[in-house]
Amino acid sequence: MKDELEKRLQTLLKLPASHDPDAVRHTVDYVRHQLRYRQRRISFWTFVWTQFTFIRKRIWGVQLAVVAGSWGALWRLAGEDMLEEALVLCSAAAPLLVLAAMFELTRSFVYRTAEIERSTRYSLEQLMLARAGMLGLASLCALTLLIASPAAASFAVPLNQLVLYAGVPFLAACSGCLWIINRWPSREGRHYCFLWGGGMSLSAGLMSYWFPDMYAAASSGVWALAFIVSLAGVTWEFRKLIRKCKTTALDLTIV
Amino acid sequence: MLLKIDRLTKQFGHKIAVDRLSASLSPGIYGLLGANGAGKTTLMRMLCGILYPTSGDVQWNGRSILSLGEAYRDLLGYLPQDFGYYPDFTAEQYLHYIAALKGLDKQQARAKSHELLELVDLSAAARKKIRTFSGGMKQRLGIAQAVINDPCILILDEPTAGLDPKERVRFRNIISHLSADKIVILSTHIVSDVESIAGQILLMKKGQLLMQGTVKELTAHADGCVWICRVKPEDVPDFERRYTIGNVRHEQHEVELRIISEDRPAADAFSVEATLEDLYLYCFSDEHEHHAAGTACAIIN
Repeated sequence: MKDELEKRLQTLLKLPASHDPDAVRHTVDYVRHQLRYRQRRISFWTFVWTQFTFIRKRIWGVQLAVVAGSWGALWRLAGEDMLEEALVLCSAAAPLLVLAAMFELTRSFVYRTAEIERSTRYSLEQLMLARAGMLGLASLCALTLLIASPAAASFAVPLNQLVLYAGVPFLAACSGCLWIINRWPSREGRHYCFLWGGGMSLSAGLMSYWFPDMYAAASSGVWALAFIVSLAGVTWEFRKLIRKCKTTALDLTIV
Repeated sequence: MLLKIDRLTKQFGHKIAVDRLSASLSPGIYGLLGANGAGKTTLMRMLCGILYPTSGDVQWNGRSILSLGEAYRDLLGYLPQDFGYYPDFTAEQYLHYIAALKGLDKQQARAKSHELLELVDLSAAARKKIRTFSGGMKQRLGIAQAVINDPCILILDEPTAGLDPKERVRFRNIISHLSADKIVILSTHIVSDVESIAGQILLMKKGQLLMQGTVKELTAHADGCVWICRVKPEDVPDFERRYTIGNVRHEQHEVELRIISEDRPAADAFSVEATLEDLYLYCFSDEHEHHAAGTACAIIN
């Protein structure tokens, strides 16, 4: 079979070129088109990893600064045996991790690159998933560092409770920011996100003043419920964002 | 290679932005000409698959672009009217970023970026941040990102808007250089941008395709409708009220008017060969809208 194919190819190669310039041009165009289409392309996972290199270093810097600042403050609070203040600090620091990530996630809307990004092989939807994946992972690592700090451990608070005290404000900030971005996919939305995240951070302190038993073990049920609701909120709003990237709901009002 | 537009319509609420537009495009440069609000940008967005049509279809080699999806976008290069960029990226970083979005690996991205930055004369500014670029430099970067994946279909939406004449000429030359074996669709309301490089012109008005053809074919329809006449300066306002004026040139004691009209505007007026700009003025003149519509219908039919 292989010999037969080889002989056939050899026969074809010996045929004279066509005298019809249009036919030759058509063949050349077609082959060029086929070659172009079959050029090597990166896989989706390589694309996702590549997006990591385009995320601004300052984002990682901000998140590290939040974690480092929190660790420093927690060490001080551990030394003075101030448990509640330490827990408030964890709750207040978590939303700040979200802000840095959200600012990066919204770049396509703020700098109006979404129109080009929707027309490329890896579309805006895939770009958002890649960015959110990278930023989400980094934020979770930062959050883990925050709650797993040695100073926090010295307070002897169960890890699952620490996860709730940091996770709930983190997820609430996240779902709020996503809700904002879905309604104001622009620089304006970023400002509202900043207000929301900042507000969440401040409210951690205010809530502990208004509800002194907020960090008591008896309130764990409320925290757990808030965790589930916030997580559902994040999932819901993130799905809406991805659907928005897929549809024409972007601000393309020029006719 | 054939891009077929089949009765494409886009409606936003009560406004019909593109109205049952049909055309077949094979490799070559197409100038999409029309006034602001004619529907050019909406059409181009539908051709890129980033706006879904209300009805109708766009087909690439017989297959709907919506069903082709990623495979179609792989063949596409697009420069939108509002060219977005990340100001803190350098030109090189931005091209690498777009190359990744277009699926090119690092090696290809580096090679193509280097080649294109040279072509668009931005090599010296490759490591500078885009926020420091002039308008012309940004547009040249825009064309570089559009062609980095060597697309079969290149869609450029008002690429020369805001550029000075030197930059516009440079831009036209770059397009001509890059257009071999591609379908290039270039939208503009600046006639001179397409007159010299486009093989075919598509004239759009109020969402509809008024006419399609070469510059010669189109301007032939306006032959006999372009006049030169010399008038006294005090008569100029009256002529401006009654006719579409293509050009006003003040001479010593009189004014030479280039008038677009089906009827001879003055006894001493003489007919001249129509240009694409004359045809454009005639089709988009508000005072002669009913005449233009009638003529356009006659041309299309």
